[in-house]
Amino acid sequence: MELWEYPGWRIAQFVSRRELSVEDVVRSHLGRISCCEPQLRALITPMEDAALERAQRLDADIQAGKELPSPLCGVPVILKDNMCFQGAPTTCGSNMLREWHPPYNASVVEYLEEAGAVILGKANMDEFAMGSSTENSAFGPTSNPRNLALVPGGSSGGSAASVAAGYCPIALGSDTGGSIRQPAAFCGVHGMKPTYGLISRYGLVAFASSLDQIGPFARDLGDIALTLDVLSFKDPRDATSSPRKNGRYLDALERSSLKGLRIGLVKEYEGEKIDPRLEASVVHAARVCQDAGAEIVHVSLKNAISYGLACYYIIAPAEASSNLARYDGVRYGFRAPAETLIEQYCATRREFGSEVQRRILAGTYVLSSGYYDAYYLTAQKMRQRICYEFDQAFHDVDALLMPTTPTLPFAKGAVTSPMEMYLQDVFTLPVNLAGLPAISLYAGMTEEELPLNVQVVGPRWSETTLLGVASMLEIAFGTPPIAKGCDNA
Amino acid sequence: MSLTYTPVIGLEIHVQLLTNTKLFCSCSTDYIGAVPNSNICPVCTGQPGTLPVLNAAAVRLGVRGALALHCTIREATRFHRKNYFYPDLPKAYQISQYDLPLGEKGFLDISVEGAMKRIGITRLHLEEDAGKLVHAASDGRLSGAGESLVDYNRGGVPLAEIVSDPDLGSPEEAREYVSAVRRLVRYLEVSNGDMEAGSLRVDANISLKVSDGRWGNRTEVKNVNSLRSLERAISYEIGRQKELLEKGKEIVQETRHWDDARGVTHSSRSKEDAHDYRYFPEPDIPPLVLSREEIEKIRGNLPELPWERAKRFREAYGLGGEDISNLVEDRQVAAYFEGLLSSGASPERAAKWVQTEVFRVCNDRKISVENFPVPSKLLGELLHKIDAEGLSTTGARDVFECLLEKRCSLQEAFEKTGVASSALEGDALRNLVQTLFQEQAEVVSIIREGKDPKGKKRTFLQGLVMRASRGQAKVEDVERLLEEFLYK
Amino acid sequence: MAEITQKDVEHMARLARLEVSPEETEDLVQYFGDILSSFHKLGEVDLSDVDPFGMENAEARPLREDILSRDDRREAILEQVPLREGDYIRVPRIMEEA
Repeated sequence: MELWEYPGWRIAQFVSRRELSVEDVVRSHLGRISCCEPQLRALITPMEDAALERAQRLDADIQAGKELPSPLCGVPVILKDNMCFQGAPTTCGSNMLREWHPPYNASVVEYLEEAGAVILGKANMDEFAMGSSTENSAFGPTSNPRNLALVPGGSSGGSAASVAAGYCPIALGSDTGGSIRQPAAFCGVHGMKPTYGLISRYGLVAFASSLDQIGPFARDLGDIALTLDVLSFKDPRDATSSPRKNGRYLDALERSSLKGLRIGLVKEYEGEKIDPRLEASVVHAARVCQDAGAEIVHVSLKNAISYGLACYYIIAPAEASSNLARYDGVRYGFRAPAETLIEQYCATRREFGSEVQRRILAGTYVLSSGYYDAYYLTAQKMRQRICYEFDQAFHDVDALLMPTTPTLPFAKGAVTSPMEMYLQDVFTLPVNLAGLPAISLYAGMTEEELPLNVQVVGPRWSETTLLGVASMLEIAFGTPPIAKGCDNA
Repeated sequence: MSLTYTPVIGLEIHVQLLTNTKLFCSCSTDYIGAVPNSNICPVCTGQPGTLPVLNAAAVRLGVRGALALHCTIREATRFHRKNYFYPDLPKAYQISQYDLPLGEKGFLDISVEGAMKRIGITRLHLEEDAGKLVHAASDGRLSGAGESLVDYNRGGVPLAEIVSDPDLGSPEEAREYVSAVRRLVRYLEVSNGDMEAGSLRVDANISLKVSDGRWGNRTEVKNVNSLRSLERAISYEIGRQKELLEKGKEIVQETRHWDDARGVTHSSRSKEDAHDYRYFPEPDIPPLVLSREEIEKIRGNLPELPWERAKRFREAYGLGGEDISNLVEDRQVAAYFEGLLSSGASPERAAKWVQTEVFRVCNDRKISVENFPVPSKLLGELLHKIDAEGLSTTGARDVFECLLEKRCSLQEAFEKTGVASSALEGDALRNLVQTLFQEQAEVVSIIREGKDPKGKKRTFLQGLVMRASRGQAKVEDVERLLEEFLYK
Repeated sequence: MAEITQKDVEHMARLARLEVSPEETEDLVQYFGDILSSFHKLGEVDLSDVDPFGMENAEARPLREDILSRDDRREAILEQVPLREGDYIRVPRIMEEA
């Protein structure tokens, strides 16, 4: 078995027991990257030299008998390219920040490095996290490791693909309306969006501030749990960070039965256009839970499913239009030469891709004078309604089961209409509106070897419950395999 | 039938708060004189991925100010983003407050021609300051400049914006109101309130109400950097609007820039969409919740406010209007004055000395009362001696000068100046007269020989005695002694 | 509710300092038409008694203490400035509109 096939927690064990050097670990993963990258193009900035340097320093510390960082000592990690990491550009998949070297590190980077992780590179993404296919990147699209003709999902497509292809056991993405869960589903790996406020957003380039959260991709639930343990801190640099947890997430996987749990099947998805194979996965998952002792109940999330999309596509672009106003060529990033200030603004901001442009305009519209009440205020009220609806559901059940995506991964270039693309997120975005935690789980493969998915959603701070349910489901669905079809062999 | 034009004026005052750090990051607020762009961090330069974190002290100072202005404090409030593009705004939005300000519906009483006028305070809210643009053209405006340079040192400094109701009716009232606000924020130690240094800024909203029922549009006047400019600018603008209305013309609702050098207001750019700020609640800052206890604690810590002090001085010390204004204006001055009183000086004498001697020295040496070299205890004791022990004012002045120069104790000062600390009488006075008689033997003879019919020589002698006694001798005693020595 | 016109799109673009070509404007009118009709669905629900920003249930949170912290990243920040003049950041001529 190659080193790059192991889960992260196992690698950390090898390293801390000195059975492996960090350099060996890193070289093995870098080798895997160079093997697959020409086909996948999952990374914007590979960081071989920096990674090897760090590996060598860690090895020197180990040799010197110093106390080892844990629990990710020597574990390679890839970051979505909207997380600030000094020493390389943080591009957000945009020409606007193509050359931008952040003057500081994101909090999650600090936490990862303290835990001993080695950052291997920055992953491709839809520009400024807007998109569901990673086709909106200024650096070109990423291919799905399961089938190169298909998209990996988005906006964290590069991170999902990296984990699916074996570049690293753990990658970080960001999820605003489904941008971790949907690519996890498309690439056949696990992806988790934690409760809003669990993980610090300091250093995550903002798309929609009240919706964005950082979360892990992995093939192993232990790695998901470990990453949550490493990253969930109250960060004084993020006023919205306020994690609440009891004990280690890793312990949640020790669960041997779901007895006593009530799990809700969301009725409304049955009305949406959904691939029958995905519907079947949810049904299968429900049966597994039942066999493990849980009680299955039907719940209604009418507002979330019917109105969530409209609500999200008012609020997210509104916040984005404000968050992206700072890209004007004055302090950082791309600057178009111009004679006057206004020309500089307009010429510089031409560098945004069309999806970003659309969303900025939509966001500007819904906040503008005369329209604020009808759109933005109304959407925020609907959002409160949706939160309330989830609250009511969680009075009755401990977790919800539904699909992550309505479709299986589609071909590059197949979805051209923005509205059609937005429909990808119908089951994921209500979760962001309510600030809830959710995990997308690998649920086996179709006959065509395309990954199936299932989503488990819980009330705020219920990550332990979700991991418990996930561990039961994994027994049935199996651990996500590494995609082998993307080697250049 | 001639029409009257009544000015309707409202003022927006921004004060920089006296915190150590900026409103949303831990950079220093002490930016004056700093190297450009040296007082910055990723947050206050709006770097991608950074987040604002609210300063607890700024909130406390804001509440303090709002309470002193008799505002109702909102227990749950929110920040909003005010979105617009300008290079001094690093995030392309200013974090401010919109429809949920920290304090509302207050008032401030000002003195207008001897009478009290109550000026309504619509609201007080917190917001962050912008950076600075330099390299302007000669009239202070940026339009017409080649390029501009940006310095973010000031960006993020906490401001409290105080908006008055449109209750002011003249340039003088406006000036009085701004003085009152300035006095208050200094008393509260909420701000330095310095217009020239930029820690207190005023924008004026001016319109005219016509007696025929018309109401002219409002203009906003900016770039007023002193109280005098404020009066002149408002005066000018009232005149300009009146002229237009008299001709039946419309007032354009716009922002105008005061040009102090030429004494006129110019129309500023009025970008049609400059005013669509697209306010929405700041998602990066959770709602600010203040408990009743916290608010009451801040209220309990309010110092004696200027008008409370003025009232107390009037009632307890029987002082008049002008004296009170001067003594109450500055908290340090009031403290010094009361220090004199507690060392035994009488209110009238203390009031006089503070306004004459103390102010004079402070002006000459360009120091504040805080740094006055003679402690109030010493000066107070000296003044007490004038009232209680017959020390003359001339003598006291000599001692005072000595205290100023030598910074010694009161005892030492008396010794050094040779001033008698109390009235010169009894044997001491007899000896002095005796000595003088010996020195002035000729004059004495003339008087004794009856050759001083108009008493001029006698007056001369008396003057000499008085001078030699440094005024410490009582006139009656001197006359009696002269009588005795001349004719006995 | 009114339909979005080309003028509306141009107005939004000005507010957002975005330059849109005539072709892009046409596409955007179409786009806006699509999303707005989905937005109008929200009008189906009675939301009159909803507190939009959760102010009623807001909890007090600790704030940042007013303690100075010298940041040593000034150089790294200034290095990223596209147009610099010594310690300053340069911007081109600010035109005032007539």
